[in-house]
Amino acid sequence: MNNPIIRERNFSRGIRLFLTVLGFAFAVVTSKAALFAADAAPSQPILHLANDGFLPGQLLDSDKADALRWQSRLFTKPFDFPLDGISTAQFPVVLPRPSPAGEYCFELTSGDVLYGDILEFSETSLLIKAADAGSIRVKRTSVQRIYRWKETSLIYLGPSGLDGWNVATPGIPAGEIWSSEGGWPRTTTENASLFRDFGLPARSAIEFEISWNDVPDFELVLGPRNLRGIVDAGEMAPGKAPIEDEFRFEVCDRELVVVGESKRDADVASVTPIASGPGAVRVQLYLDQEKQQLSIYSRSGQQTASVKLHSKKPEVRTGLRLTNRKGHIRLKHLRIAHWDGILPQDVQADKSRIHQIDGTITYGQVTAYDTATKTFTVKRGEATVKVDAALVSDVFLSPAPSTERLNSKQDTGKSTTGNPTTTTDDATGSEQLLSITRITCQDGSQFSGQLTGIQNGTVHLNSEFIDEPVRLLLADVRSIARQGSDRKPSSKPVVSGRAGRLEFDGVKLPGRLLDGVETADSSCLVWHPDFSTNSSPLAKNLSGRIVYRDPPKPSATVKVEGQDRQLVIQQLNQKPAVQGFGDVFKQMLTGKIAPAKKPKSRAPQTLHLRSGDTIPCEVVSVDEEGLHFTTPLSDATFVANDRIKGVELNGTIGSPTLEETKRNRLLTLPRLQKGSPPTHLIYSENGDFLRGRLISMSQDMLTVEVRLTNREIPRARVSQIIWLHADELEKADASGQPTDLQSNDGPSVSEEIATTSDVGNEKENPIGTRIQTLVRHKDRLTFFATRLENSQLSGSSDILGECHSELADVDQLLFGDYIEQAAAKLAYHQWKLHYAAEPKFVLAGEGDAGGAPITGTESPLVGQAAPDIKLANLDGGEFQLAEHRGEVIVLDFWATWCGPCLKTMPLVDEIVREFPDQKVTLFAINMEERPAEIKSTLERHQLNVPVILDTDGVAAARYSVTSIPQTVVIDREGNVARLFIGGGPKLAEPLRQALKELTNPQPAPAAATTNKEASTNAL
Amino acid sequence: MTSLRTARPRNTMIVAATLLFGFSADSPARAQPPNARIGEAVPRDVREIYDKGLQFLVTTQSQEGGWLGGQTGPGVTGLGLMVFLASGEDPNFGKYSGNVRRAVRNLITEQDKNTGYLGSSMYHHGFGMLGLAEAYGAVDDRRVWPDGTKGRTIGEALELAVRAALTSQKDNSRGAWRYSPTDSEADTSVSGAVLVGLLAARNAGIEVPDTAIDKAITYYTQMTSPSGQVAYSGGLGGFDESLARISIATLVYSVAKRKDLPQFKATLWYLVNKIEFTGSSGFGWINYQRYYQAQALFQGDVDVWERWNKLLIRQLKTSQLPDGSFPGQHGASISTSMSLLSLALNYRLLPIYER
Repeated sequence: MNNPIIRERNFSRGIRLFLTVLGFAFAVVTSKAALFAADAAPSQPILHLANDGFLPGQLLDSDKADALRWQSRLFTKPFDFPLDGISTAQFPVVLPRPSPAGEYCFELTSGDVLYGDILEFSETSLLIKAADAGSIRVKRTSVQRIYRWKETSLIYLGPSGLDGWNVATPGIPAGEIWSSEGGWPRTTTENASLFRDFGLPARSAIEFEISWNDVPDFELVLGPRNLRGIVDAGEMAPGKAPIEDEFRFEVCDRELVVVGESKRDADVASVTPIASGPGAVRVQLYLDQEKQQLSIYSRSGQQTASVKLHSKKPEVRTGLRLTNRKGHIRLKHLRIAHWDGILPQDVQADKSRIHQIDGTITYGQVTAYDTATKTFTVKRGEATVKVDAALVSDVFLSPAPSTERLNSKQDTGKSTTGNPTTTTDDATGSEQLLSITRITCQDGSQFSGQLTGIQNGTVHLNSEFIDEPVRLLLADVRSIARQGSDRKPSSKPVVSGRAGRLEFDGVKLPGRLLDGVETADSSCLVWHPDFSTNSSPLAKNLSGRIVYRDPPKPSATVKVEGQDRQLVIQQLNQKPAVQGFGDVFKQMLTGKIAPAKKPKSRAPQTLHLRSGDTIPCEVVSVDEEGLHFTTPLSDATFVANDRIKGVELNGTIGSPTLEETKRNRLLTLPRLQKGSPPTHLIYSENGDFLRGRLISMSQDMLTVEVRLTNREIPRARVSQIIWLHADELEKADASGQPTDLQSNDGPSVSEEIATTSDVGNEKENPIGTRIQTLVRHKDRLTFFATRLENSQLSGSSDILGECHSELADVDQLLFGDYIEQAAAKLAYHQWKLHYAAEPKFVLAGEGDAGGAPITGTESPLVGQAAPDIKLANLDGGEFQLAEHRGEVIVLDFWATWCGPCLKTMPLVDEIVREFPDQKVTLFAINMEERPAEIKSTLERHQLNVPVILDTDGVAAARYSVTSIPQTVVIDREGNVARLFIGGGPKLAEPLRQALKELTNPQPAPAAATTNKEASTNAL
Repeated sequence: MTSLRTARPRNTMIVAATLLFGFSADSPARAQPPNARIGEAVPRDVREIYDKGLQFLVTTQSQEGGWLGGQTGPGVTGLGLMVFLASGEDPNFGKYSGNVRRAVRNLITEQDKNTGYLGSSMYHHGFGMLGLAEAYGAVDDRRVWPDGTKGRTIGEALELAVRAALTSQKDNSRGAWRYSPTDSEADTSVSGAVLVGLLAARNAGIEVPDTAIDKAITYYTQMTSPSGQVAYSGGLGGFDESLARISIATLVYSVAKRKDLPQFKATLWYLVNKIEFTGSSGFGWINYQRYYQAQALFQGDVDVWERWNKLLIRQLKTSQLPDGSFPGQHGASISTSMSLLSLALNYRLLPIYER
């Protein structure tokens, strides 16, 4: 279909605006922001320090018992971080997560977890064949529980990534909802839900663990009715959800409760309180959907809560749905198994015993395990009982002191052995066993102890519970965490120097700069991270910054960063009285230009470079090459045009300000002018702007090319000149929307990107790290630093020559491409052109390539009574729509200057003529043109249609004409049946169809009733 | 949409101007530029761009005298020929005389000896005819054909081409031209190519009936709106902001000595008010636009042309490729020729540039 051409000419005021707006396609390019927030599960190894610093890199071999040797690509040398300074080292998770080896899971009193087979069972120790660590001997007193994790009844053990889960949540784009954090589904999205159909049997044993960063608010439904697990918006609204028979866990006022609810009754029980801060809950439950009973057991085997329903028709539902109502959660563990329906008997938790699958409990000391017959020997008093391992579910070897320890934070009064465990999360750790390192492996096993070194990719650990040193392959390790890491590490700086914070994308590393000299391979910036025992130069060509002092929060009212904030405010409050360009232009017209007033005392002048540098100077002149100046800073006198962003000739005026819409207009480049964009904005002392090309500037005059004509402007009237660069224009997207520069406050160029620009930088400057010092949060100086000595950075600038900068004065030290990223946010840099929007018909090419079929039913007018109009006919007489009731009327809004209209009119005419004798009539409504003009056009185009004259635009307004051609079809009852915007071949079929429907002697029922229905039926 | 057609003529060619240096049978050399003397005041940038572009055309001209790659045919050859003729080098003895001869031979060889039709569309015919007209009187027929061969003279070929154009016009319902010589519809883009060719031939002394010119001019007046916009094709087309077509109309009114027409004033007014506007993506081929814009402004208002010319030089300087060519959607040969001819007004050597 032809897209309408929009022209402003000849339109009455009101409509003109609409036409202009609607006629252009605002191609909104929605650039998707990062799909995932920084994932706590790294894609590369990352070291977290005790001071919140973090640094991706690789763990290297080291024989130091108390330190990790960490190599980052950003530094030329590895750092040795003493364990005291480390929070965790995390490694990428292997997905799918490897299944544990062996038949049993061993839980130690230390909290360690091992998987493996029993090789030997004695009075004092167990010999375990573990997958990660080989055969290891564990003190018997250290083992709290042994259970067969690989029962044949197992239905699911995980999670391991998002595969198989339905993460769809209405209203939230998939992919932004859940992420996989080391295989654990994790979300921070409100109302994000996670569903999976496990084929839950009528009776199941379920164990889950959910963790969080702060008090969570979630809901876990066992057997939700909606199998797809999708919650629609109505259901999410509190009080609106239909009651269904279900069991669920939910957080309610800082307490995890289990709820059973049916139409008939409800039951609720407390599971565990939830404390502030990071935490986790692990629940073991038995669900009988037929008996509608859910029972919760502690890890040590005691029932702690139970809920029951009495619905008449219990259903067995097979899925599970987790919904994050607010905050953050991750699903860390889920184990589902068949259950025979027999609840574990109440146990004497402090006694050594064996639980069998059938619920039988055998109390007594387990004294042996026969690997040949696979039987346990239990000594009970004098008697000895043999238990077939195949029937065993759990073995408890000793009382479980650890449960109390784990729960001690939450439960102050009562005995706590019974409750499900809530623990603080791994990373922060609970206060126990200082200086202990805990290693978590990919398969979920955990070892804690004294780290003794890393050699040949193997981690060596001494555990007080395990007889021999434990050796784990680094490749199997998921994390190395220092236990009790809330303990304040000794943070006394090992070196002197000003404390700062080094930041790259994905890196934060507090520390200090040491003296250094640029070499062929390394930067002169030498960083000594806090805690590290050594320092390293930065690699070459990086992009980032060192922050010594954070900038003050920007004022809410004036969005100007850095420069001249005060001046702007001043300016807003003052009415400048200086003569502007208005008069200059008048004088141009009259051919008389008043002699320039002599500048009074010289106001401060400042040169603003594209790099963000500000150079106080005296501006001497400007020519086609660049700007000549003198500055107290150096002997430099020239800077090329392509380096300049702006110059303040009168520093008392402040940055130009302009109301948003005016500013937008000023900076819009008409599409016909794309080939010759203006290169400068001249700002007068009283706030006038002039867009053009600065040809030259002398002490007295500016020569500015405006509309290809050179104009002279007295320099004394000019306050500022802003350079507009073509490459700034390219950075705006095609829709005319400037790219967003406000979104990120920190360095956003990754290491990879930074290295891609290496070549260019290197060519230009083989020696020196390109840095920018930011002083007093506004003064920027960019140069190539070659050395840091005695807290003074030295180097040279290609503009200013030799440069020195005292580190003590610096608020931020920027380097690499980050300099430009930061500069792009400065006030001056916001002055850049953007393209005008392209009209639709241009964007669409010939107009009929692709695009959705037109239906003509989108307009709100469709189905409404057609507004009556009474207008003059071109050939005399009057037209009144109301008089044509009983006919099908086609109104074609057009104008002589509208090419698509003239192309469309014969087409519409032809189609209307396909319905002879059926009272279908076309009226072409001309929009506000003179009859003579209209007649000559009709003649030229050999058109013969009845034309009526919308002389004042009222008809167009009544029919919401925003672009033409617009074709309106009105049925015999006088209601709008279709409204087509645009013309061309694509219009033909829908129009023909509409007329067929409206003229059909046996109309479809819908067409016979209301027009609203007719219209929706139409296509 | 109609308004876009001009932006992408299928066979595109363009019109061009004629060169001067020209002698015609009964008139001596013309082309006294109004307020510039030959060889003076040609900016250095112009000289450099032009010479570099000439080198590209020299190295890419085929043995047969035409250009390959992108658009090919008599229209491309005619425009290339004009670039050499406009260079100021002697067409018979200068350093491009070989190129000139080859191009002329190519045009004559390609012409249908019976109908006089040059090439695959009336675009080609128009530009080819223009090339012949500019060469007529300037290029010595005796040197065109190698010993032992003999073709039509330039004059003969030009007369034949004129006759073909007139025949085509006779059967055209609009009194103008469209792609095929037998089309009964017309458009203002193809018609521009043919009409300027006819006018150049008439200026060179070939007989072209006034009625033919008048009919074509009438067609243009019908296609010109009071605002100065020029529609593309009769019957269906509307007006739009195609600077190329508005320039074509301005040019044909000027060269036909019809500056008295209100339509001329309207189109010129439109152009003058848009001199900073270098065109938009919707209105196509910038080289084509500049080619006509240069001549239209030069003919319409030399002072405005001078201002516009600054912009042209600036733009050509940045868009010329290292090999001297200019990129364009119809191939480097024709884009380069049109770009150079838009610049050639600075030399004012072609007869068609005469005001």
